[in-house]
Amino acid sequence: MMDPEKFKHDSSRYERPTRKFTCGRAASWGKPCEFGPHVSGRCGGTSECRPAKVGDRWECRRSAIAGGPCKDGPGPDGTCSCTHPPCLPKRSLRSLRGILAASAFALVIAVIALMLSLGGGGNGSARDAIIEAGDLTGGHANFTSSLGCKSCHSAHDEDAGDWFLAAFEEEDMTGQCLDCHTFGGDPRLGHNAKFAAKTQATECVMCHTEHKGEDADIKLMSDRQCSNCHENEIDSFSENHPQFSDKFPHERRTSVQFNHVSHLSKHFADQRFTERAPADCTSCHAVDTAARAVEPAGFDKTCAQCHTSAIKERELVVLRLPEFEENLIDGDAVLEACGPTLETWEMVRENMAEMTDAIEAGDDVELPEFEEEDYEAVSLEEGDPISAFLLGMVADDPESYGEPMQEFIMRLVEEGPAPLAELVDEHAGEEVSPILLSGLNAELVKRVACAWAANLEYEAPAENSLGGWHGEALELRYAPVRHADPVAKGWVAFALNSNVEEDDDNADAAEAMHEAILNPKEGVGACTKCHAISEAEDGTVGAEWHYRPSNARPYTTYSHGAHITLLDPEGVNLMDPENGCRTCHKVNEAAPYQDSFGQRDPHHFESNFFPINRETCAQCHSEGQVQQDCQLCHVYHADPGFDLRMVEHDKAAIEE
Amino acid sequence: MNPIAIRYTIIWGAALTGLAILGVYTHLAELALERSEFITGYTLFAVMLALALFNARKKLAMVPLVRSAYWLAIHVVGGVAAVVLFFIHTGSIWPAGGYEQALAVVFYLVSLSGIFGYAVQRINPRRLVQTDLEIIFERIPAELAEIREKAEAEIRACTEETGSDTLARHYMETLNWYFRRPRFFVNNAFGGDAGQHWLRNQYRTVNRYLNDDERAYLDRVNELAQTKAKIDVHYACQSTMKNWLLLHLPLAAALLGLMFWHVVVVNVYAL
Repeated sequence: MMDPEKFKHDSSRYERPTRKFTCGRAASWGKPCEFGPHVSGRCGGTSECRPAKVGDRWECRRSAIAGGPCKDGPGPDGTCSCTHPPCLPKRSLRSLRGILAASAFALVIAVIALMLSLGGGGNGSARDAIIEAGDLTGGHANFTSSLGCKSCHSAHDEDAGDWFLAAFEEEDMTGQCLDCHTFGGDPRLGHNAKFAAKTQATECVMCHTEHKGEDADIKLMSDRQCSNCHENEIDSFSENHPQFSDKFPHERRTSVQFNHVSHLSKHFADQRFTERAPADCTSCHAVDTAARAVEPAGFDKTCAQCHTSAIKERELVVLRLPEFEENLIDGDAVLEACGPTLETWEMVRENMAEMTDAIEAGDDVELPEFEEEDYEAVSLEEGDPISAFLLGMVADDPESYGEPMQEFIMRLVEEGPAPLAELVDEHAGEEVSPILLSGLNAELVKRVACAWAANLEYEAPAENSLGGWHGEALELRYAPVRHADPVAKGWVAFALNSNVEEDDDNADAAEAMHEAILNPKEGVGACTKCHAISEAEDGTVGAEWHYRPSNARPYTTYSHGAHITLLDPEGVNLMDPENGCRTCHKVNEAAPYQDSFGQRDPHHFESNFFPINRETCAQCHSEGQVQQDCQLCHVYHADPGFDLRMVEHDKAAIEE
Repeated sequence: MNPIAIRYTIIWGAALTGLAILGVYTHLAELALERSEFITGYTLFAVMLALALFNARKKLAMVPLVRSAYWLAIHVVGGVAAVVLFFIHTGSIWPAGGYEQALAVVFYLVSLSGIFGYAVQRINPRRLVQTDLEIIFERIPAELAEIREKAEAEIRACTEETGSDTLARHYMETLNWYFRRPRFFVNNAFGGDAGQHWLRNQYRTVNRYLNDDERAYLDRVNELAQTKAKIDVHYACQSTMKNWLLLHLPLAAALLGLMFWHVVVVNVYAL
């Protein structure tokens, strides 16, 4: 223990740690002086005391701590006789701390001020360095490179005053995002759509916050965040996600009526078709690159293996020469328009020969007299349903159609296919003739019409083997050239869209025309044997010519491609009911699949497959196995896209 | 429960309650797709200002602003709470932006220096008590000078009375270095015993060359050296207890500057 007497008031100096300076001698580990430095930092210990004048004498005032009055005493001028060279006082710790703290604060402010004064205007500038909150994600960094921070933060390039005032104004960040991003609905509504339930207004930055680095995933959300709005709280997919719909994943019947059950169990198993049958599901379904929808490979690569030959045989009779009770056609007009027929030529030649012989024999020449023969119609057929509908006549009543049909034939003689086009367009209510009569040669129409006007059967110059428009005796026909023939499709659409009221005079003819064109057993109506005829929500009826990806469940996503690499369907026998695609898609042999196509409501259907339920997915997507968070299968935005303005915006900025 | 424990229990309870409220709020705000950064940020800002006020409180000793012990407890607990609040606010240990990274570095340095300072303030006083010596830090130079004078006086007396310069030469070659200023600072600061070991070596080295008269002087010099060794421990411990603030305070001041600018920038750009 240190001697406590040393610290008594008369034997110890009073320490003042709040002073700014300490004795320089003490700092160099010498004996500190009595008085210590002055407040200004000057040495205060050059003399050991400050003598005091008592009367006319100077007295030593050295303290007892320093040894009491000195032996020599002060000089005559009052100066202390015990002097030392001055020391260099040192700053106290307290003072040093204050200076360092103030300096550090000042340094920070100075650096900020310096960076601001150096200015900005581009990435990597001094000013941006003290503002930038982190790198943007890759995509955003590219599209903001020309304008920099101003691309999103309008206050960025403002002068100092406005810049600072921006701290008190709210910036519409969502508006800035919408300069480039587009959505299928109001971007400020939950899921960009209106729902029955009230939802709060949304802003982009509620979920997407930037400046988290180039590789940051700014779209990631937690399941709990989804549950914040959704009333059905879901702990996890495998636990209590709502069960899928009872026909999942289908919400409507297929566009093409393809019975998987009959094909798999019957046709593909038939020895006669084994070579043409697909090896596995992926032979027809391009699964490996498919996302949610798996589009079939198309007719040419699939159905055509077995179903090509029948297409060209499905001919459409557009016009047929019916039986007329009397000939109302002006023969001279026909002769003038069409020229003489072969029979007329032969008759003239015979008469000319007789007249020549008579002249050579010196006989009197008598001009032959043409006697009117009794009219006998070359056709004994009824009128065809299409022309009957177009002309508004009754196909099996010669009295009804005799006059209009013969007038129509004469118009065909004189004008070619134009009258037919007029009728088609008139009944369709729009110009459909360029499609329906595509490839119909005017010469062919005239020749056919001329033959019929002359009460003759049309004789085709050659057999029609390539398909297309052709005349055949008493009929003008169209034979489809290939699958998806536009003319055939056009006539099917014409039939479906030609709606006639039940009490209309032409109702029966319309019905007959419908049956003739849409009959799946003959003619182009065979298209509808596979292609479903459906009534849309707006009431229009049409054949479903194309694969129709589902537009239901717009917030659900799925990747067949990602799953198929696990199931390896190419190595699985098509008939294997357990593996490959059929791991999930189980064929339902008992389902009345084809019955669904007997009516026109596409949503009233039975699938060829058992529905996929939650448990199917949960075999893998469950706790401890594969990821099962909401965003794996669901997307938030409706139809996210980009606005071209972002490119223009960027270009303009670069030009500027 | 002693008053210190009660004091810390109350402050820790308040801090943990505050942190829990902010943590729950942040979690709920995140679920509700709301931005919690502004609340947590301004709270952190307020906490940092409150922590900085501790230094001002020390300078205003004459003003009755609650006992300084409470301020210290609030500063310690508030400092730890600020670190937790920092993580709640940033959501990570390392922010993405260059400026925010600089802010984080300074924040971490302030926090680490604070933790170091608190540890030193808790550990070193016990070590000082163990020396069985009390001395005011500012008086250490004077004490050392006095001890040095006494040692040199002993050496002079030894030479004069015994006529031998063995001890004087030993002093000049070794002990003079030791008595000139505090030695073995780092070793003493970390609680080592290098000074004592060195002294024992020197004592044994010279002891065998001395006669009994000289040995008496050596023993008195050694006693002075032992006292000086204790003062060395005091110097090392008290220096550490004072000098850590040379890092903590300037860093805290720099952090305040960086923080003010951060608040301005955030309000301009993120609101």
